[in-house]
Amino acid sequence: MMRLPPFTYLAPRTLHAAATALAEHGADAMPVAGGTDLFPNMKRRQFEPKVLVGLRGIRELTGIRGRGREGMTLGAGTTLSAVAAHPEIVAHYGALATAAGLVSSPQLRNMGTLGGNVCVDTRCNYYNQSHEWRKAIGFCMKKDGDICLVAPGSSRCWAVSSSDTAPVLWSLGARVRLVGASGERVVPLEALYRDDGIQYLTKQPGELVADIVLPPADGWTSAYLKLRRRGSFDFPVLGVAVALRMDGDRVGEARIVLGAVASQPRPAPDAAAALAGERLTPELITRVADLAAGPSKPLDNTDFTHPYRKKMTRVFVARALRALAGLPGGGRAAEEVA
Amino acid sequence: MAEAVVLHPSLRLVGRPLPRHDARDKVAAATAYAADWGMPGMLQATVLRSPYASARIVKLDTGRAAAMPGVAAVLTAKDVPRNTLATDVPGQTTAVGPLRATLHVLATERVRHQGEPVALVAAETLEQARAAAEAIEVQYEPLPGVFDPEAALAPGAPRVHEAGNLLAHWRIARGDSAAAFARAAVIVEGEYTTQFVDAAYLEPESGVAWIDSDGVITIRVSTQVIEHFRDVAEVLQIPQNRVRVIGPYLGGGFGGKEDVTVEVYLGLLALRTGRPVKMVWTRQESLLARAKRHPYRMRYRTGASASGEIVAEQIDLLADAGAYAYLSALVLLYSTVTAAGPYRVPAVEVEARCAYTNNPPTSAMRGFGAMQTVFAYESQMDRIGRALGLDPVEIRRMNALRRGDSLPVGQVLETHVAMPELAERVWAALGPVRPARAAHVKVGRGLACNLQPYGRIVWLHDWSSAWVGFEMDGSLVVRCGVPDVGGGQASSLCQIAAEVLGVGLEQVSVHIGDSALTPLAGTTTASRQLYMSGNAVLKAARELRAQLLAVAAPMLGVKDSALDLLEGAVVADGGRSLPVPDVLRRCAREGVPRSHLAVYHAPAGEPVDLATGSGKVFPDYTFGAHAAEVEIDMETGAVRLVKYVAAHDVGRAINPQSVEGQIQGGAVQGLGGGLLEEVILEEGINLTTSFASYLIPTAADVPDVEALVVESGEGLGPFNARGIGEPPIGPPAAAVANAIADATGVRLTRLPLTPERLARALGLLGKAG
Repeated sequence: MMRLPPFTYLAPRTLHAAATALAEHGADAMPVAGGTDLFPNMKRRQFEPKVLVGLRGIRELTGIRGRGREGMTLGAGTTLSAVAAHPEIVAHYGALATAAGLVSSPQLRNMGTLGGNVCVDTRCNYYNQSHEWRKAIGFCMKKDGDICLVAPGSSRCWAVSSSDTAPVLWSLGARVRLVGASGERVVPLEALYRDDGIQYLTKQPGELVADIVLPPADGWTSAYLKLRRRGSFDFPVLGVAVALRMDGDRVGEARIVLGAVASQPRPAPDAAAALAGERLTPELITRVADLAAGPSKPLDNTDFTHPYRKKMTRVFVARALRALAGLPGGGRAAEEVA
Repeated sequence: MAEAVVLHPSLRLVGRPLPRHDARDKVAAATAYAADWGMPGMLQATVLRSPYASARIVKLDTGRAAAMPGVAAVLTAKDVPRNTLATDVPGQTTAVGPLRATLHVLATERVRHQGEPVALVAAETLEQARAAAEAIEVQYEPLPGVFDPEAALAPGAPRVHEAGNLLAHWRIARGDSAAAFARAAVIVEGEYTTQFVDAAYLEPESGVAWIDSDGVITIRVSTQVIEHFRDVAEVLQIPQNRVRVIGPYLGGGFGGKEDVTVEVYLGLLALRTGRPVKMVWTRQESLLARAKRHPYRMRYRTGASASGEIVAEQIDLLADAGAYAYLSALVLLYSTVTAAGPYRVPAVEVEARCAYTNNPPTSAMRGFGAMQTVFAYESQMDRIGRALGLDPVEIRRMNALRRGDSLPVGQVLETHVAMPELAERVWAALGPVRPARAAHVKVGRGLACNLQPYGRIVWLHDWSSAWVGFEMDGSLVVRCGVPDVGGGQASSLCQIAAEVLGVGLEQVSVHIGDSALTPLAGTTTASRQLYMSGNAVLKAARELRAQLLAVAAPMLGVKDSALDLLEGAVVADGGRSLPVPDVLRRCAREGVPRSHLAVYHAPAGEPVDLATGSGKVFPDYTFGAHAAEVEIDMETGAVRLVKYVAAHDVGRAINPQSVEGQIQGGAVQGLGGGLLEEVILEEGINLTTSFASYLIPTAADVPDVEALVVESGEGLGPFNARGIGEPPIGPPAAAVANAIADATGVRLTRLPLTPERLARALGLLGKAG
């Protein structure tokens, strides 16, 4: 088996201590929660931190508080299994429970955390490889190299956002509480991301995601559909998150956010706007699905080619809307696997 | 319908689904696999591999690496006494000549595929070994490569080996196919493509070597072939009796451990350092550079009469042999012989070639060339049936081989051919058709049959030997050099010996897989081990029984024909009995051996000229039929398997539980290759070197496989058993492709059958094709 490189492990008991340790060690340090993505990446030398700041001993990072009616606060250290099974989340933020329950395998969901999935590293066929392999092809700019092997003329990295929960949280209007050594701030979840495969998070290196804050769920329903080749477990190569607030028989407000088609979750505002004030007819759904596929511009650096992923964006958006409208032909997330 | 021949009603163990001794050990983590071994003072070893698919080694300097802390040895090709082993395959129809490099130990002036071993390091710790391997200075000059067999055979293609890129070429020409095609009412043409597939066993290649106190180099290694002690000796240039290979229970082989893996490297390093050495390949190494299943390009032209009889077939096969020969020529032979499937085809032409490329080597994998062809011939069969309005069972019933028919190579089928009854049974077992559960879903069903040889090619003069003996207390010992890859090889031998010698299964100890201490049994490959070693054990046990009864007869005052062995006693007709230990003591006094060593020789023959169809190639064949029901998502191309039934005529199931396991495991592995698995290469660079990108099915991805164990009572193995290790991997891809065609009217001809390919074929992505 591949082995972990040597590192120092710190086990702070408070968020403040963790943030302080991260600030103190700077670029040499990384936080680790469940470690389900970080440790394999370290074995492949995609990450080479000298210091790991373990978050598992920090009680203030765990726990699910609040109710759907008034909004909820989810500790970033809450496991994905706990998120997927929580009755209040299942009842009021259905897409989040679905997405958390579709990350990887049951074993990894028992270890992996919501915060970890929100911050999960971007992925690429040419990057998620062993050190020897990457060395053989001369490395890429995301780690150890200078060029992008997907788009050799490009000055940026095109690695793909591969979080299941991030597009859903975005569509739900979630905010995140970030804690650093010198203070804390609460920002909309979408402000956490930027469309760059390397610098895909905007948070400062010393900052930690402490909580995910969900707004009151009053009147909102949501759905998440996931495309991947193997049904049992796999990263998404397309995620479709749709949240709707109905106003009588018309859509009051809608948000559509796509996962795994760019280096960050990608909203589809035109499609969402086209829904507002309208009845969810099959004709409208078709039009909205076409609009939603616009922002879906995947590159060929994951499983499946981009024409297929783009086409599936249309199909999945339509299915999610049909499911939320109670029309036939709606998708069930567990079956949106190919 | 094949009716099972009734066995002797007194059989106590054979034919019963008994729990295997090794299953409990494995579940309890008591099995010591090759990598579980450790010894005092043991070094850890690693392989430095080529980053390039095709390059010249300009400079190779191990000086800095050798001086690093903890390093005990750094070896390159110049340290290998004999770096290349080659063999010839008799019977090739063209003058391709001897095969180049069935085993190439370390790269010399050239590397021919990514991941090719270049140097070895042994050090006190694995970290030190890896650090030293990274410190070896290798300068490569990249060379043009060739990555497709068609391109490799084109004039002017870069040569993978000096003598040219054509590795092997087989031909069959039976009957007048031109005349037959002229009479055909319908002709179906198709081109089918299969992909590189990995064996993906749970247990990667691993082993430990040491020089024992008697000076013998002893290698405890995960292998399907303990006889590789001979190859190690040849590479090390020492006598064959100075190398011993111990083969512990394997965590899967599937043909991937049929060729030499770590054992030669371990032998070299143990000999150089004088210390125990361990080598365990990482999953990434195994996926990167280990031999894969051959991708095939198969062109079929099939002609049938208006009533549905196949009258002629023209078949052109081209396989990618990768960078070294390994077993490619033999794999291709299997494809050639089975290319027309389990059907009567009066006029057949087969042209089969395989070519060197700068892709990873390809070699044995479960099915061994007889499985890629199933995808082609069963797709063709389905298309002909559809063209003539015949249902899948009917078209196969009309054309099925029967006993006494001959294959295109001229081999006459001498045992029961369970066609078409297997097809009828699996088709019926699918039950009533269920309606589609949604408007965008279509349901379809597919059928696929196959034949797979069991036992090695007859001109290899195959044999196996086994020793069976009683201890003085009446307990029984079986010694047989079989590697147990997980199919129940060892426990089936126990069942046979215990049956014949009248003891309980718990009274048998079995020693397997040791080239020094167990009689050699040959490879656990070619679905041959139950057939060959089962017969050897049966023969030894029967001889031993006769020896014992001959001694017991005068003790009981009866003729030995009136005696039986039951529950640890010799029993006479009248109910009188003697405990076996009493008889054993008498044997000792009289100088009668309490054991027997038997050798079983398979029916042998000389190489045949395939082209003129002159005779027997394999001892016998196992037939099978699989049926699949699928749901197709017409908006995404997703294929969901709803129901799967697999039937094989196994002649006689020694242990039905093990047989079901083989059928279910083979079917699931075949479904993996049919739907998911693909080694993706870009100019020889392997993109799928972890299980995050090389996708194999999990238990959650496949339906329960309903295994129908059919017993015709005819087969060449013990108690008329047939081989069942490989056959179940053949039909799944074709069964699913035929089900997709049934549901959608669209035929996929390229494996794996991905949703994207189906979506494209359905026209969902704009243009069909």
